[in-house]
Amino acid sequence: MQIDAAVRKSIFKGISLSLFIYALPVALLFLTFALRGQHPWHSPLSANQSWWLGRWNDWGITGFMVVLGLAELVLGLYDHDRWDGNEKLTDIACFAFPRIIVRPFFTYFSLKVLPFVLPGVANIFRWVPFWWGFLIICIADDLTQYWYHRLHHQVPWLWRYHRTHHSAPYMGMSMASRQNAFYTIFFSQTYLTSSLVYLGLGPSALVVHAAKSMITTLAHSSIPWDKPFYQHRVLHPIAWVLERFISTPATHHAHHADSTDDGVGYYKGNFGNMFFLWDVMFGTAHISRQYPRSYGISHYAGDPWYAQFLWPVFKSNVEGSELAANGPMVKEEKPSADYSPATESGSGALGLSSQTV
Amino acid sequence: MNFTDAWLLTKKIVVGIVITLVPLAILTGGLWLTQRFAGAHAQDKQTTSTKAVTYAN
Repeated sequence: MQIDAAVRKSIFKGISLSLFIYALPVALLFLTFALRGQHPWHSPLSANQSWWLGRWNDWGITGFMVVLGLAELVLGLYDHDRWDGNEKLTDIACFAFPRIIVRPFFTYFSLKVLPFVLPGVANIFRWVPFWWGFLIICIADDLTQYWYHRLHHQVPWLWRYHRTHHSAPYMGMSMASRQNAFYTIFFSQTYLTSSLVYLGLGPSALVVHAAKSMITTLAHSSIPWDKPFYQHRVLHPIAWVLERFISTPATHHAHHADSTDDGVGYYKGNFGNMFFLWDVMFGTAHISRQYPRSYGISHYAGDPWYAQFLWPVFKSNVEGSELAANGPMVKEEKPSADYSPATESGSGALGLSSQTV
Repeated sequence: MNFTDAWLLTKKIVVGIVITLVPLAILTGGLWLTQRFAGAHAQDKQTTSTKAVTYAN
């Protein structure tokens, strides 16, 4: 299965532009130092500040997720009919894996592998001022994740590694972690940010990680925190900026819709994780200020949790599934029952292949 | 897991490595150049001030 020619062109154009975006914060840093004659070869953060950032990263984020998860449960925002035993097991396995296995793995990678591969360069960029480091990591981490994510949608043979994230017919904060194990363990942005931490940008990385965790978790949450911004006219200017800058429930829920037929759902774009800005810049954005009626994959038939979590090691026993032993690489979208060509505005606007969900 | 699966996984890892190393090279190269040139700039300024002090004396 080949990538659509228009999609391939769009990917190459976007990646070329990204090379300049990666270099932008460093170029600005250089210009600032050159013009002001600065040479801040020291870390502006005290040991005490670093300690508090570390605590917030560990316990603050954990507390935030627990409170948000409980709020979703108490408010009845999980669909009990569709959140069955198999979906619960998929969600639990995917939620536990990054916390129990991936974190220790990346800690080992940072403490043992990087010093072995890159000896003698630990903390060589410790002099980068905190907020410059923050800008560098925001762009480096999130732009890399944008491309990692987008390629898993638009390159047909990568799709099945990301399918688990889209198979749930509901939304909730735990969706942010619902991923195939191979998708999570090979997250490019995590290796990139770990390397930058090793090179000395640790304190900035802690703050970016905290901000990113909150934004992405809230974008997946079933609590539509952005709705008041669309309902009240006085808040519209803030909404305009917000929805173009970061991922909101409206734009990210559209990415998880099971159809693009209604002009609200848009699984062919809205790939941004922390920043939605990338979608705006690379022409993959779709903003409707509405929430899709249904989520997931139109042809999903409840693949077993172990296949969703560990495909291709374990295969699905659902015949014809993309995760089955002889299943298709990408299955055709099932047309929605109330589809009308008149409501097709927005879908396929980029000429993306309808097969690359 | 058969040979095709292993091949797909290998290709996926290679794609991941490329999209990690390209930004890492751009950023580390840029920071290294900044440190080198801004350091030289700072050294130049320091040398000039030292000379000025010497001439004043």
